[in-house]
Order: sequence, then C-alpha cells, then structure tokens
Amino acid sequence: MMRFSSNHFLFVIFFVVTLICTQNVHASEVVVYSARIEQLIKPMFDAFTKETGIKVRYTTDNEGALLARLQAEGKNTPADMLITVDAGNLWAASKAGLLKSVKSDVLENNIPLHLRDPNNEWFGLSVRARTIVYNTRKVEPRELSTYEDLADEKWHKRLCLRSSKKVYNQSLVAMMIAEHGEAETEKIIKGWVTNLATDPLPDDTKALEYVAAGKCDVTLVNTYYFGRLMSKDSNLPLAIFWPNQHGSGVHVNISGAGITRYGRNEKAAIQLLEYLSSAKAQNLFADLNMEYPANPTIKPDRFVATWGDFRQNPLNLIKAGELQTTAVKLMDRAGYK
Amino acid sequence: MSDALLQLNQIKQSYGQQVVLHNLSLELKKGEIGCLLGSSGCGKTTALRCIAGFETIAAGEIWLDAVCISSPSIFMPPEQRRIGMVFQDYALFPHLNVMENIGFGLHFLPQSERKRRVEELLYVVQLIGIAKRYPHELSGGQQQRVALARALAPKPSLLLLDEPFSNLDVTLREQLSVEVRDIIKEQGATAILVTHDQTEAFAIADKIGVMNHGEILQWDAAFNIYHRPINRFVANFIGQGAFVTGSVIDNRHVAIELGILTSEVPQQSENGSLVDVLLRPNDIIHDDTSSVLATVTQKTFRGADILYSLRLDSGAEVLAIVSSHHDHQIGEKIGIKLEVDHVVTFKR
Amino acid sequence: MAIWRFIPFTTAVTVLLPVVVVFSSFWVPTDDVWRHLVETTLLTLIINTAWLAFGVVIGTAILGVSLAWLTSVYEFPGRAFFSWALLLPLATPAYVTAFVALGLFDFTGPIQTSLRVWLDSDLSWFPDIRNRFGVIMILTLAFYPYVYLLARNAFMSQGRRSLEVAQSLGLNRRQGFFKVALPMARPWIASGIMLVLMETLADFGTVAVFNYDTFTTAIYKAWFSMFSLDAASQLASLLIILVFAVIVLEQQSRLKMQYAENKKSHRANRILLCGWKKWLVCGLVFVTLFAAFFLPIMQLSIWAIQSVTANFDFLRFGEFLWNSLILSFLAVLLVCLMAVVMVYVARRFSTTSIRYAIRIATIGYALPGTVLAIGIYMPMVWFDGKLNEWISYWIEIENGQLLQGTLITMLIAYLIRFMAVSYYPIDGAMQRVTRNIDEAALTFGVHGWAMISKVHFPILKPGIFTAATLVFIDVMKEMPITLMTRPFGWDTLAIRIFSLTSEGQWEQAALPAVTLVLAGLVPIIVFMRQTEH
Repeated sequence: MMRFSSNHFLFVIFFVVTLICTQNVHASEVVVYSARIEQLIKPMFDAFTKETGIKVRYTTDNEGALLARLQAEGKNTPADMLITVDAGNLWAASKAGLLKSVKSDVLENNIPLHLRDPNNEWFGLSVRARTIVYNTRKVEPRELSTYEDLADEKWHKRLCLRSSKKVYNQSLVAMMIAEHGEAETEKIIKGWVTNLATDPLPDDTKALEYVAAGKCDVTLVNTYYFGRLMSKDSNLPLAIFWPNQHGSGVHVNISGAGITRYGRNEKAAIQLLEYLSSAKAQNLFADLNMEYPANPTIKPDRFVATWGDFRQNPLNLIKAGELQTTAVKLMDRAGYK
Repeated sequence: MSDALLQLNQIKQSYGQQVVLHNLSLELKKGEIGCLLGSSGCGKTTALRCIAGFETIAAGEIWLDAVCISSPSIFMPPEQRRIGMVFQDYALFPHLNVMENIGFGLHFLPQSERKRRVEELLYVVQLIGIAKRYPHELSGGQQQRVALARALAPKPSLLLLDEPFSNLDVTLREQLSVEVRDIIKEQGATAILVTHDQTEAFAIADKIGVMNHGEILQWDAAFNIYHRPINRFVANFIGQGAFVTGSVIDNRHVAIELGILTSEVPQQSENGSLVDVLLRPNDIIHDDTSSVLATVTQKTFRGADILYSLRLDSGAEVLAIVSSHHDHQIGEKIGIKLEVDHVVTFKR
Repeated sequence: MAIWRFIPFTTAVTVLLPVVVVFSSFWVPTDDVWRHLVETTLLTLIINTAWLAFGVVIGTAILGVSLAWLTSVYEFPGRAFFSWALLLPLATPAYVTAFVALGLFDFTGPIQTSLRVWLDSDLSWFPDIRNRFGVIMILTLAFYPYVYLLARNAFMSQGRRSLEVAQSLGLNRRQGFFKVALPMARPWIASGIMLVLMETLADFGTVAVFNYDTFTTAIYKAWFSMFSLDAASQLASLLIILVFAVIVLEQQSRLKMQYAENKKSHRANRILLCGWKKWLVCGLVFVTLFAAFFLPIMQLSIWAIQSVTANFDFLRFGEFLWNSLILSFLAVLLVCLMAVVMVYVARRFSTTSIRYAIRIATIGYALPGTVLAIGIYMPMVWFDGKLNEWISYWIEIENGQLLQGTLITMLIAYLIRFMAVSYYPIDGAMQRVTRNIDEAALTFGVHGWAMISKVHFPILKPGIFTAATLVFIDVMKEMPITLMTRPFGWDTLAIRIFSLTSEGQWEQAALPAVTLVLAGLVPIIVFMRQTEH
C-alpha cells in the first residue's frame, strides 16, 4: 500500500530534477541546430571553442523537424545557425525566410559558387558525391558512361537503387531535371525502374552489399558509404566509376550551413561559419565522414583520394531545392518506390 | 453395486506434500441433497472439485450413474460428466444478460426448446421481469438465482453448490437456502452442497458429511449427526453441548451426577468404566420443583428462549435452553432435571 | 472541489492541443500535393496500410492471446520464465528488430550467403522477406506483447474459473476458451489491439527499412520531400479520424456490458500439461520468443562488441544511459498520475462528452511521432512567446525562452504522446472497481483520499504497474519528441541510436540499442514480480 509520505517524496524529486535541468542559453555562445549528427560536428566545434573562446551549443534532429521548429519559434528562436546534410533543406529554409544573407569575403573565397546560395544565405561545407559503384567481376569499366546510360536496356535486371524517399536520390533527379527537362528525365527514371534487379533498398550500404553479393551489377551511392564498407572489407569486388565526366559532371550534394534570420549572436555565428570553411576545419569536416572538402584548395583524405579525381557538376545546387518537389512527383509517376 | 447415484470410494488427493483428501467416501441416492460441512481448509471444496472433474485424484474411485468418472487411471473430462455447478462467486458471464447466462449450457438444444427451457427456469427462480438485464445490474440474491438456474438448465445428473450463500447477508441466506432447496427438489435434481454453516446444512441437506482434515468423519442425516455424533469432534462441531463425567453401569445405563441415563441403543464401553457424556442444551429441563440445583454462570437472551450456562455441584458446566418467561439472574440457583432421549458417550 | 474538477479538463485540453494543431491544417489549400497523391500513389498507400493494419492486428491478436492463454492457464516446462520473458520484445524498438531481421535473412545476410555457398545454388526459391508479409511478421513479433500483457491480466484473474464454468455447462476446453474466456477478456484484448493498431499506423522506422510505402510514408514524404507540412498534417488528420472511428465502433459494441471482475476465486491451479503436449507448447513459446527477442539481441550484441573500440567514450555513454533513465522515470510519474486522474474523471462524471473528450485525448499515440512532435511544439512556442511578453512587461529578461528547452516542455510532450499507453490499462483496472465496492467502502465510513488509497489503489495497482512499465519502455525508445523538445545536451540512448542509424551506421548503433533493451528489462522484471503473486 502506498503511503502519502512516499507520494510527496516522489513529487519533490520530480520538481527538483525538473528545475535543475532547466537551462538557459547565454549570449556569449553560438547556438546551432544541426541535422548533421553530433559525431560529425562536435570535433570542429571543440576546436573552434579552443581557438576563439566562444562556446557552441547544439542540438541535433532531422532536417524537416528542425525547419518546422525554426519556423514555429520565429523571432524567439535561440538558434544562430542551421546545419543540414543536403542543399534542398537549406533552400527550403531560405525560401521560408529563416536564413539571412551573409556578406563575408572569407566565405566567398573559400566556397565555390555552385556550392552556395546565389544570395549567400547558405554555404556548402563538405561535398557528397553520388556516383556509380559496380561489381568488378561482372562489369568492365568501359561499359559504364553516365547516370542516364543506366536506363539503357543493356542494364536490364542489373541495377540496384536505394529508395526514392532518400533526399540524395531526390537531389540527383532534381539536377537531372534541371539539365534535361521533366519529360526526358522521366523517361530515364522509368528506364532505371525497368532495369531494377530487385525492389529499391533501404540504404546505400545495402545497395553496395547487393552489388558485392552479385544480386545486381551496378548501383548509385554516396562515396563515403563505399569508403566505409571497403575499409571494413577491402576484398569486396567493388569499384567506383565517375560518370558524366564528358558531360555535366558527377552529381554532388553538400552538407552545409546558414545563419538564421533571428539569431542573436550573428557575429559569432559568422565567425564559426568562416572557421568551418577554413583550411583548419575543412579537412576534419570532410574526413570525419570520408566526404570531400567544399573548399577546393583543400585535398581530401588520403584514402578518399585513392578513388581518383573527378569533375563535379558545376550547376548551382539551388536547383536541387527548387526542383525537389518536381523530382519527387516525377519518381512517383515513374513507379520508383 | 448399491443404488447410489454418486459414490466416492476412498478418495485421496494431495498438492505436493500436503494431503488434502484422505480416504474420503460417501454415497448419495438420486433426488437427495448432500452437504459437506466443515471449517475452511478441511478439503470440502477440493472434494467438490474432484467430483466436478477440475482436479484429478491420486487414489480411489468416483462413480456417477454407475459409471466410473474418476480414478487414478480414468478421467472423464468435466464437460462429459453432466454435472452442474454453482460457484461461490457465481461466476456469471458479465458479457451476457440473464437469459443468455441461463441458456448458455443449452447449446445442444434447438433454438425453440432452448427458449422454452430458459423461460421455464426464469419462472422457477422468479426472475421473469429482469431477463434482459446484465449481471452487474442485479442484486446479490438475484445473481445467486441466475447462477442456480444456469446450472440447472441442462438438467445435470448432479448439481454441485460451492458455498452458494456465503456472499449474501444473513437474513437473505436463510430465506434463499429454503428457496433453493425447494427449487432443487422441484426439479428433481440430486445435489451436493459445500458449506461451513451448519444451519444452512440443516436447512437444505438430507445427508450431511462432517469433514475434518480431508476426511469425512460422519456421513448421515442431520438428525443423526446432531443426536448420534460418531465421535467427539462431530459432537463438538455440530450444535451446542457440554460433556460431563459418567460411569457405565451396563450397556444400556450410565450414571452421571444428575441421575441415571437410559439408552435405547447399547453402549460400547465396559461396565464400570468412566466415560464422557454429551448433554445437549435441550437434554436439561428447567424445573422449579426439582431438588437438583445448579448455579447460573452465564446467560444469553435469544428471544423465545434463554440459553443458560449452569455449574453443577461437582463444578462441571452444562447448557440449558429455557423458555424466556423464566428470567434468572447470574449466581442464582435454579432447579433442573434430565430429559435425555439420545445418550451419547465417549470413552475417556 | 472546484479545482479538482478543473485539473482534468486542463489536461484534456493540453492533450488535445496538438490534435487541434494538426487538424487546423484542413483549411490550408494544398491541392497540388493532393492531386499528385490521388493521381499516383494514394490508392497503393491505402491498400498497403489496410493490409498492414489488418495483418498486424490479426497476427498480434492470435499470437498475444494464445501466448497469454497458455502461460496463465497451463503449466509446462519454463512457464514461469516465459510468462515474463514474453514481454521482452517490448524493450526492442521495432525498427531495430526489422533491421536485424533484414540483415540476417536478406539476400546479403549470413543465412542466404552460407546457403548459396553450401548448396552452390542461386537460392531463387528462398522467400524474400522484403515484402508485405515480412513487414507484417516483424511488426507482429514486435507488438504482440501489448496484447499478451493485457490479455494475460484478464486470464490471470478469470481464465481458469471461466473455463471451469464452461466445463460445468458441458463445453470442452476449446469451446470454453472461444465461448467464455475469450469474450470475457474482450475489453482487455481490445485495448491491447488498439495500442497495436495505433503503433502500427504511426510506424515509420520499420516500413522504411522494408521500403514498404504506407500512409505514414506519404505523410513524411509530403513534409520532408515536398516541403508541405500542411499536406502532411492533412494526411495525419485522416489517420486520426480513422483511428477514432475504430475506437468509437469498438466502444459502441460493448456499451451495455460491464466487465467487473468476479471477486475472490479459488486458488488458480494451472492445468498440468503432460507428455508431448508440454514439450510442444514449450517449443512453440520458445520459438516465438527466440524470433522476437533473442535472435535480434544476439545479433545486436555481436555488433555491439565489435563496435567498442579502444577510444570508446564510456563517460559520455553513461550520460546517455542516465538521461534515458531519469527521463523515463519522470515521464512515468507524470503520465501515470495524469492517467489516473483522467480515469477518475471518466468514472465520476461519466457524461458522453467527457468520454469522447478522453478518447480523443488518447489519440496522440496514433500520430506519426514527428507530426505529433511539431503539433506539440507549435502551441508550446506560442504559449512561451505570450508568457514571455507578459513577463517582459514587468521585468527585463534576456531571451524569449522560458519553457522551451526545459524538461517541463519535454514531459508535457511525453504526456500527450503516451496518454493512451497509460490510460487503457488503468481504465481496464478501474472497470473492476464496481459501484458495490464503493458503496461497501462508504458504509465503513471510508471516502475521499482514504477510499482511493485503501480501496481503489490496491485494485488499480496491477493496471498502474502495467501502465508504468509500458510508459517507461516507450519513453526509452521514443525519438521524434525527444529530438525536438530536449534541452541542449540532453542526449539519450534513443538519440544516439537515431544519429548513428541516420548515417547508416547500424553496427555502431548496436551498443546503445542493446543498452536500451537491457535498461528496458528492469521495469519488465520488476513488473512481473509484482503481478505474478
């Protein structure tokens, strides 16, 4: 039987703990909303704090939730900076008026034009290349050429793809729409779907494993997934092919950041953003996840460099955002699940 | 083979090390109502559950309608025994109304016959007006009657009642126990009741079995249980009374300090030996003219009569029921005389 | 007394707020998204969702009820162990089970890979689990404990007795089960199935692993891929209406019946199974438990051991664990307390409007987590802004956040999310407190607080324990709300799992996942010890 004394005791604990855990945000800090996970941002923040004495507070969540949160908080938001892992969401944040244009020579120097907002509301910090990976036992590199070529019937029952619900594929298709127009792109996507050896897979790693196991011969993945899998088992019969080298170039997306419109510590936030684009942080930022630095003067990680150089698609990534909805609808129509 | 409907031969049952039933035997004729009477934990409910088939037995046999339904090697499933049961908590189905509850066991009958039988029972248990109600909308007595009707509906060859009145208040209990007896008799059913309340047992049963520690000590009619208890435990457990010392004169006569008792049946004890003699309160008559006097030590007013505790000269205590017109005070000496029709003695 | 009446209404309103927010999207035109959905995938999504809901409800009902029946009425080797161990799958998030199952049985998994090598065949006959059947199976294995737990409550208190009554009326055990025990346990089983249905409709993680498109997939697609939170909310409102309709139908169908438990019954001796039967039952129960719990846990443990490297930050990891535990503990206190209050209100003022208000209030459980999270967050931020304006009028304060980023916000959010989980079991227990019991207590002069603590609490206790266990485990597993409302730095095990799996690092996520499961075992074991006797 419960006694009232123990009831009261529990309530006291309840309120004390609640109050202790109530924290306030101080002015001398930068507050970051990040869709990039803690493990991939904390080391740079720590280094920044060490160098400048400015503290960084951050919270992580998925992009959609962070955007909705910023929107709901409006002028009262504690956030000074928003970090995402794709351009589409930065574009959406900018379109919703959540970001602020930044005038910074450092950033303009460090980040190439196609990896940042034309209005300087967001900047790419690392590059994620989405490329072709093939089974070395079943495919000769000369058979491969472009993303578009994967719709050709010679790849019938030889293609594996990740689900169309992942933003990486949506951006890729959006950029294809920007280049070829909707009708042409839809034909290509339909070709892909016909060529599928199995239903779309839940993630890039799974797609790579399917290729390695021989269920299919080629797939489209972000390079760091390939890197991770190969560093676990370097004997896998997988290799990277850089497509569209004679045309538009390899599709890239970014992990990037923008300064929030209503942030309170704009100066410190810009300082952090500049720091992240600088040589000191760029290597770490990219290398932690085997991505490519956004700053073209910085060399990628040694292991990553062994995959060879490639030409990036120079089209501004804002297109990935603008055309994302169109791309999603197009993939639905094409039956790409 | 006797003409018994139900026969239990030397039943044994135990939970692990704990022996619950010990060489239990009884017989019940068709149309009789039997009762297992005992304090809680004496094994009476277990005996009932063995008959119902909810428990298996370790030794002995249970025969119903000349068929062995339970033995260590034979076990007829409960549903095939044609035994109805009224549970202590009634166990009515909360999701069914009164009619559906009563008709539940009639699933083998066609719709029209089922309806007829249910209506017949509703009439018997006087619940016609509330046939559509759900159990939680009924009073305790009504629930009890629904439980009885439900158990009687399939015309079981034997009806078991497990402490059926224990959840009711005292006045309702007495009234209902008579009603239930009438209903059972009217339906021509054979029944066994389990209870710890002897007035209930007396009111309903034709045969009563007094149980202790998993044994039936005496299986007999109420009259005999009361007036011819087989041993000291039964004598003590049933009714009220007191023991006084007596000395055996011969096999029909015993001398106690109040006089010489004459027994209709021969007694077992040796001549000249000392025995305990049971004196029921109605064995002692108050008589102002009597020369034998006893001191009142306690009195209980019971309306029509008063139960007196009396101390004899030897210091022995006896009980007497006296019409309540005679109001005596504690400490007063009153005249008494013996009127013993049934002499009950036990060896010391 | 007036304040006493006021509290539950405030709770109801609070709990209703996010639902209102979600519904308010109805007036926003989103023809574009809708036209697209109707033209392309909507029909498939509805069919998929219906199949999934149907399959999982049937699957969990059969599995949960039969397991509960076996463990509460029969005695067989290992029964005592199984009766609590069968709850263990509750502690494993469904999407983790899904991922592990996919990892094991998929084309690239160790089973198919080794078979291909041994048999030197392409294994084209091997069943693919990446389909409708696979998702239904995984969700059934993950969610059956809800039905098992509640059905077990019912069978433990009346299972054996109801069987005896049936047998005394000439029914055999099988008929007794279907005609008596099952209908009598219906409110409990229905509550369990309700929870399963809500969880299934809200599930995103498992269907994502299987790339099986459901209504929830469409909600997230509209929001995250087509940037239309309004369209997402509209889809979510449809989901709410559907669930609400099911709840109302179920309620209507058992309006007049009351399931007050019979009081004292004879000591429940279990029926001893003998010979091959006992081993068959033991085997079947074990296989279920193995597939639903031990297999995923074994795989996770292997990954977890591999992931602990030399520079593993144990201190930080301990912090995640501590945060998870303290959050779950606080949430249990608040949610269960409020559920008890709601149950009392429903009992005390049992008007139709209050009953429906409470039903709506428990609907938060059926909403996809992230949609509910934002539905909670928006009014909270608005309220905070108003509060801030009001206080600024009197004193200068630095920034606009008073409640945001505090545990209070988070706990209120949990309250909204998990009201259903705690309401149903406690409400089920309350059904056993009959009017007679109240009246009996009143005749002894017991009323008010004494009535609650001396008479009601002992009867409600099993229900409250059930609720507390479920809430504890659910809060441990919860992601979207924790992600959105946690104070800075309050990362939990679930957050860790999220951040690792969102980057596809499943092997690294295994350690927090195993820890989460182990921490979830504690209340299950405590709970079962409480109810076994």
